[in-house]
Amino acid sequence: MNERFKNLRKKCIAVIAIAAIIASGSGCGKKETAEIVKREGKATYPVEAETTLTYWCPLPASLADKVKDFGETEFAKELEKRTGIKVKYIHPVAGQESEALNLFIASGEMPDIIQTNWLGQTGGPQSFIDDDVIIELNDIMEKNLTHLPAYLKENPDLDRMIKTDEGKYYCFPAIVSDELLMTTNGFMIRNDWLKKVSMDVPQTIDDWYEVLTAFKNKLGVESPLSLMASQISNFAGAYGVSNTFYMDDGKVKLGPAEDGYKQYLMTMKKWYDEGLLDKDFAVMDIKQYNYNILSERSGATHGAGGGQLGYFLNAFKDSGSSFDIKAAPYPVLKEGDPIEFGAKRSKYNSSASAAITTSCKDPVLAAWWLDYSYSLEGHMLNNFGVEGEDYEMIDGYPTYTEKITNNPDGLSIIQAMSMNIRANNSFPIIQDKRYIEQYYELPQQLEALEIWQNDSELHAIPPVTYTSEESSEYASLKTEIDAFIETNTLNFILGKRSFKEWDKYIAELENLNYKRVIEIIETAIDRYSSR
Amino acid sequence: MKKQIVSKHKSYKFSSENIKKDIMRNKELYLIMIPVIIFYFVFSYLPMYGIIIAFQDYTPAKGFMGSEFVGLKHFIDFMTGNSFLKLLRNTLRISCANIIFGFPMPIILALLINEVRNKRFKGIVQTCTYLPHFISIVVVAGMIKDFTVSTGLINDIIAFFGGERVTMLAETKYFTPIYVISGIWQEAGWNTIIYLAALTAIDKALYEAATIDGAGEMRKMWHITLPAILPTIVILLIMKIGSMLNVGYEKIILLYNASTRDVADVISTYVYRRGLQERSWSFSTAVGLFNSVINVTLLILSNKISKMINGSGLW
Repeated sequence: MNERFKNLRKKCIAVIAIAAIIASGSGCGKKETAEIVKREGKATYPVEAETTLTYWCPLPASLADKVKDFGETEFAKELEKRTGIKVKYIHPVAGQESEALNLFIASGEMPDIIQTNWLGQTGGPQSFIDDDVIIELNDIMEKNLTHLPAYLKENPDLDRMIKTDEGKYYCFPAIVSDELLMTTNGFMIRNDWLKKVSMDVPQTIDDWYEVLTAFKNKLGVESPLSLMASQISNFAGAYGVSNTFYMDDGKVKLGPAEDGYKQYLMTMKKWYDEGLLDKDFAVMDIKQYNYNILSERSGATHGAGGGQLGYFLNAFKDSGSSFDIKAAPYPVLKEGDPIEFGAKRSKYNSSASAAITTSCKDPVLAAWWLDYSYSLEGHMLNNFGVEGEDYEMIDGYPTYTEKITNNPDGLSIIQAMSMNIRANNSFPIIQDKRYIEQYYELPQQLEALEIWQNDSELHAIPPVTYTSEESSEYASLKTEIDAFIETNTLNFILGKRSFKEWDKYIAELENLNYKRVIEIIETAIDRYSSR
Repeated sequence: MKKQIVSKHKSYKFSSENIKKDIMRNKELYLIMIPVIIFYFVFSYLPMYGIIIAFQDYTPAKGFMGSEFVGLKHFIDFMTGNSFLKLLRNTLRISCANIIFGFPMPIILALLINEVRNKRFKGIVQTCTYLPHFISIVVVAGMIKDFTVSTGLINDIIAFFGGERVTMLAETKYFTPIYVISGIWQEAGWNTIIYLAALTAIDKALYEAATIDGAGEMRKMWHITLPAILPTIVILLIMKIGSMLNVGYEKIILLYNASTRDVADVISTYVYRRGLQERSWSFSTAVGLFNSVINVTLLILSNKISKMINGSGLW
């Protein structure tokens, strides 16, 4: 009897153990249905709250070796003090943001707030709402928020951009409030070399060809133009095409399927063959092309006003060298043509949209914390820091103090800014142009903002959203098309593919069904216009 | 000792009576096995239920139970898709090149190291050849890039002999060689360890006898050393063939660019892109499953062939 009982007990234990293992395993994929904290009314800052929110965003590169997480910055501490809301910042490994995000979504355990490019993710914002990843904000906006709704009321065009077709608000947007802030990337060229060969800043494609040839032949520069593969397409605009889908007279077109693109490729091939364009452009990374400019192997490139133009000029500042580099406008074909293509951000910078996830147990608190950025006080803090410490009001103009511009602890201006304000990085705030007017310390940088101006919004596709069905079709078609274009663009320029095969190339492109993609985009635009 | 041999005996039957006896006899051994079994159960067998999403239109919100069942749709999509043949061709090419050129290297290196009599020199050689194994793949890819650009070391050498400078990573024809050679550089030394271990097990008396019979170094290597490590070689080769379709995606992603994607894109990079970057969970699981099925088939086949030819295999 006793023996039997023992056996039974053993069996029971075994069964329970197995059940426990299986249960713990299968529990992984499910979401906990946690109690959601209910809060009524609008916020009065500082809010009294026990909860610590978690906020997921990339760590600004300039802070990478200064702090472990954004919470250690003086800015974050000040924001916590003013709002009364505690926030823990979580950062993905640089370069693996979308993988990290997708793993969060698959596991179902997400941070309370996620800042990413929701518009650019496969499926778009609406699918994330439908899949219970993020919450729609309409209710909270109406009942609990003050500042963002007020801003949107004043800016109806922006209001349309940050909604889905079904009229759902999904994020707290990053807003670029001035034209001046929209184009911070462009071409730059060695000004001292231009003087040496007595030439002007190139305006047209032909000017560029002459200048680069002169650099090469008269000055013996090894590879006059250094660009990364992704930047070459900035020359395509001169031929009236972009390197992807774009708008033209109310119609959607695919640049690489147009004749202009062939002209552009032929020009680039010529430049490559004649050694004007760096031989390594196909594998060039940012490290190498910075090096090419600094080592005077190249005299022209495309880049950011801060990260490149300012960086180059500062590198030679005290060296006594004659190094001088200045901005060049986006090229056109004939002198006086309007500049209709160029790197320009839209008013809604979708790359830093903060959405509240379904894992958040206190969504209203999270919304209050995010909404503070759109208040006047929050706006000043985001852009200029703390009055008296980081900036002083001089004649009504918030002027940075030495703490930012000439940091006593030896921080560079970009590091000092990243520690004390948020305007110089991508965050869901309203960027103020008075920040960039001071961030760009050098006259060449300020001048660049004017020189790089362009009307590329004429050809920009609005921030449309797709339905779930459209989205998966769009994504799989577009991935193939993008890869095909990228490969063939390089192959034509490198001479691995002859222009005799252009018709065949177009046929192959048609086989990838780009016309269907155009259809999808056009339907989405129709819906967008009728929002 | 005798007790343990019982389990190898041919007339041994899997009756519960026998198993019990065996457990009682070798308690300690079974105890040692428990963590290993738990490890495989938890990390290799439990997650297998996830394979189900290959046959569904899975979204995390609906979960395993709620997602719609679509049968073989994703498999058909993959196999009739534009990239299928290209991916398979690239995977097989890179993999075969890896086996043909990469597999014999550690064997040759191990034989050479084995012949070295000076202990100090031997130690230095071993350490030097192991070292690259510990360098992160990201760093290795960075080094490869710097060496192969048109102003890099390799091109300097080519130009010195009058050749023309080329950006090697932008040329499709160089991609596989760069991938395979850098792989040999990084892993050959490390992989000699297992062969060197096998070499130490060879009875010295055999060499002495051969020397007396008048055999030279080459003959001894051919007739004693190689046959002695042959089982090890065969087992490693079978395993290698069994994982033929698993080309590591990290290195490929770090090395490829738009101009070489046509020859560099392999199944694992495709799964990575579609699954982790584009959230096509079901589709990429289906592709991964396809990959595994082929791998298992190859493993079984190569094991059969090995058994037929030299009478020994993995199992």
